[in-house]
Amino acid sequence: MRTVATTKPARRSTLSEPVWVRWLLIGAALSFLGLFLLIPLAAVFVEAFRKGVGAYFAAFRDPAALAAIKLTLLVAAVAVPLNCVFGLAASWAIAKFNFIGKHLLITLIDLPFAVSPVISGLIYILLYGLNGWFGPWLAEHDIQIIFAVPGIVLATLFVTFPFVAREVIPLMQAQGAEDEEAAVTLGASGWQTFFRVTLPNVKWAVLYGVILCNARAMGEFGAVSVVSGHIRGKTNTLPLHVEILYNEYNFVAAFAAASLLAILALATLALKSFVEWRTHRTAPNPLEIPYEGGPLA
Amino acid sequence: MSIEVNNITKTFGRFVALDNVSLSVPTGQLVALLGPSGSGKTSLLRIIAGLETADPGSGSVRFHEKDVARKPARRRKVGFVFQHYALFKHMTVFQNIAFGLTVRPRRKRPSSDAIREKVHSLLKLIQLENLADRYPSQLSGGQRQRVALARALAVEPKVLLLDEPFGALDARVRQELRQWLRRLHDDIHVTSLFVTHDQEEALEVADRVVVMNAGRIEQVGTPEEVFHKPASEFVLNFLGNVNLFHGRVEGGRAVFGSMVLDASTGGQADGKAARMFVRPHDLEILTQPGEAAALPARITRIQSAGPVVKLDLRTHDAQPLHVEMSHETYRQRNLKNGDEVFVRVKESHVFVDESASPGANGDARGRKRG
Amino acid sequence: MKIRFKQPSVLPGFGLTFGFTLFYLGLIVLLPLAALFWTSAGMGWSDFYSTVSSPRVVAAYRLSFGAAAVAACVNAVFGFIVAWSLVRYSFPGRRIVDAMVDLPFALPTAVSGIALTTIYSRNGWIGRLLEPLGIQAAFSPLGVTIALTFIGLPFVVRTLQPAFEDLDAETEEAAASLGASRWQTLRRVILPAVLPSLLTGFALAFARALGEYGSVVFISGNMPMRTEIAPLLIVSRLEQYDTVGATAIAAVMLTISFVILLAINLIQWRASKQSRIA
Repeated sequence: MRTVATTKPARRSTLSEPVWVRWLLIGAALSFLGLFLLIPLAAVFVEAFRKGVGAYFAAFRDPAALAAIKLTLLVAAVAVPLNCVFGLAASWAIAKFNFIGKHLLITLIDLPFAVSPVISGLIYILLYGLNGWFGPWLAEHDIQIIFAVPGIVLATLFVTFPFVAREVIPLMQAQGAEDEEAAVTLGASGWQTFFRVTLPNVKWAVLYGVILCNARAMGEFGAVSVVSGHIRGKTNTLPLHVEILYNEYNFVAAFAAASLLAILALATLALKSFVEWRTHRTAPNPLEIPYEGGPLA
Repeated sequence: MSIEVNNITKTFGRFVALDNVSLSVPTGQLVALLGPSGSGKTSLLRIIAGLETADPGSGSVRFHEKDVARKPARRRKVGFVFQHYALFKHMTVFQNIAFGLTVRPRRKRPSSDAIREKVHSLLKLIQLENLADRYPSQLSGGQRQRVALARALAVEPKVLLLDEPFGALDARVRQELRQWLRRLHDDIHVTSLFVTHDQEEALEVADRVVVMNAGRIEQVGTPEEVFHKPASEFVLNFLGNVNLFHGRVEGGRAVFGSMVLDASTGGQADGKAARMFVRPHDLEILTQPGEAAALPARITRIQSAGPVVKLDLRTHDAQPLHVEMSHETYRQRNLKNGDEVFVRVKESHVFVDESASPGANGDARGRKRG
Repeated sequence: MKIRFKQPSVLPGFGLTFGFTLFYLGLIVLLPLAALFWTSAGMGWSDFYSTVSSPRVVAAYRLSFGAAAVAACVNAVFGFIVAWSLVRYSFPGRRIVDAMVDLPFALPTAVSGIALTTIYSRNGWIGRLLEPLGIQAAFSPLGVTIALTFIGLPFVVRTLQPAFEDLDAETEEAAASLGASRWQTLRRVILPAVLPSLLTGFALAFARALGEYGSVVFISGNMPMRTEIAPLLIVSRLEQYDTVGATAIAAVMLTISFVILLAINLIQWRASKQSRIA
């Protein structure tokens, strides 16, 4: 989902509502957003500092908190690059070539957005859990996936699967293959064409996708919760750590950890707006090209 | 380097883009592929460049007698100028032009000094020496077009292919650029083939014109030949406005209303439908009925602003006619809107239906000088 | 004419990228999803039916669907107003407000969950105001609906915004010049034009709310038969090592999600067909 910039000349008078209607609507919009966005966000920080700055920072001295932060970073560091490479490969295949079943492929790539986070975790239990398809084999070879880090990574890969692909595919499709054809007639090889012509053309869309992918990878709760096993200090990501602290009525520490995630969210929104602003200056905005594939998320 | 295309066929699904097309372009010539959209001209150009492949087993493309079928586009040494230029947006003019040189394998790549020198000589050629550091978005359409051309020339192609090179430009820039292209070609003499749907452009710039329609080549010839001796009704129609008269063959001659042409009709049987095409400047307006072959008509509109005077007329059986004449003649004749006048055919092209004789190549043609 | 899987192209790398795409898609998405349907297919119809029709499961489905539907309706109404205000009016801070609309996407669901619970619980900022009125927000179906409204908020706004931007000012001016009032123009010109986007946004918000877990578990209180949502039921089955039961409940939900996905595609396909004619 993206912000659409609204730089339009002043509307003509026939197309406007009376002033009181306008302010009524703006007021309704802002109250709704204030109630549902601003107050929860403020609550996070107020609760985190309820017992003072000292208590806030004490929450991060807990080894379990540090382990959770580390694991969260690790999971994102694996999932984001993998899905980024996938997104680029899929975009190249889909945008630069014509083949049978392209639309089906695009729909399948979007599928994870339609799946409940809980189910996203469950399906990996069915595959790799103790009684799953590969469970006995894994147990025999002493490999643990479920209730361990690999399971968390897999579930995260699933929920963040489409992010880069769905940003890059429509842009590459809109750009067509003419630049690449020009590079080829000038003697460039496939890799030269990709790195020197294609990638610079889609870099903002890739960045956009990576930002969203990263936010979701670090913040995923449902899917990870199902496969993690909640082993403190071992398989707890930051969102899971928040849950445990909260359920133990350790509210300040829970909100302190949550504030970290809230800051991540705000940084994500800021970066996202920056990319949108950047791409808006070079018309046509590649991020506003309608997407042909599935619509979810 | 010469280009020979032999029996190339290209289909997209059911659509036949090229139907057994053969063509040869001699070394050093500037040739225009002229035709309406969908006539297959761009497909032909892209097949020559190696950007598309002809239907399997259909024929060959040869550069200088050598079959290039197995050569991928990047090794064909073809300079291709795209319709929308396909300049790399994130590179400066300099980087765009240098691209083809910098992507060469290390041992074949010129030194950076040599590249700089080459690019600057090309910038000079396209008269954009002071814009080397601009980005494509900062250039005008005509400038982009020239950069695209320089980029293609940088790799010293044996063949230069241009797809609608002036299609995206406004009329004035187009006029300038095509004269520039003609001069450029006279300087560098690289075998060039360009696609256009603008007959004026093709006639003005090219050494030879290839007229295409519906996946076939209708005629190949010099601009004079295709204009004055059109091989088919299509060519005639496509190269400028014409007036059409319907008639039939009678006693071995073509008869159009009150006009009888001495044209040979190729021994066609009586009763066959015949069509006569007359260009607007090949009709003469007389104030008096001098000859039997003149057609009475009434002037309905006179447009005298422009290099020639254009008149709309209507014959008595309500057929509209378009006539063009010089301002001098117009003044001499002293014509006014609503005048009853007589129209005489100076030169015409007659085609007789040959549905009864399939396989005959080219229509029966008659030319009459009055 | 021979039908070819792929049209020839001068660009290289199709085999590599297409192969990798299929392999990775299969490994991460298709194989695990297949496992779900395979497992539920293996349990036999009567077992399957008795699992998904037990009163506790039905109650969970009912709550999930009901709350998701109400939340999506609230979002449709207010999303319309928000999108309209952001596109049509200028007011101080509009750009920041615009950026903030995506907060529910960016904020990890666990964070929104505990934040909403704190606000709406009996001594929270808003819960305190509601209690004298006899309204219990947290730990009730109302709380579930509030969380689902939060989570679906960006969908309607973000699908409507481009639709409002695309509206041709001239058609509205034409309506005005033909004597339509502003309200008539809204109802008869603007609303039909953006209806496909509104429906898509509604369906997206609904689908997201249906599967939501993180933001709901805290505020719902998780009382069986009363505030237990379907995803939570899946988790609790898993915690009791009843993988098969969890799978059956999940299969029903997943099927419904795919049906919604199909419906959305249908809406967009029809809308694009219509705009092509116009």
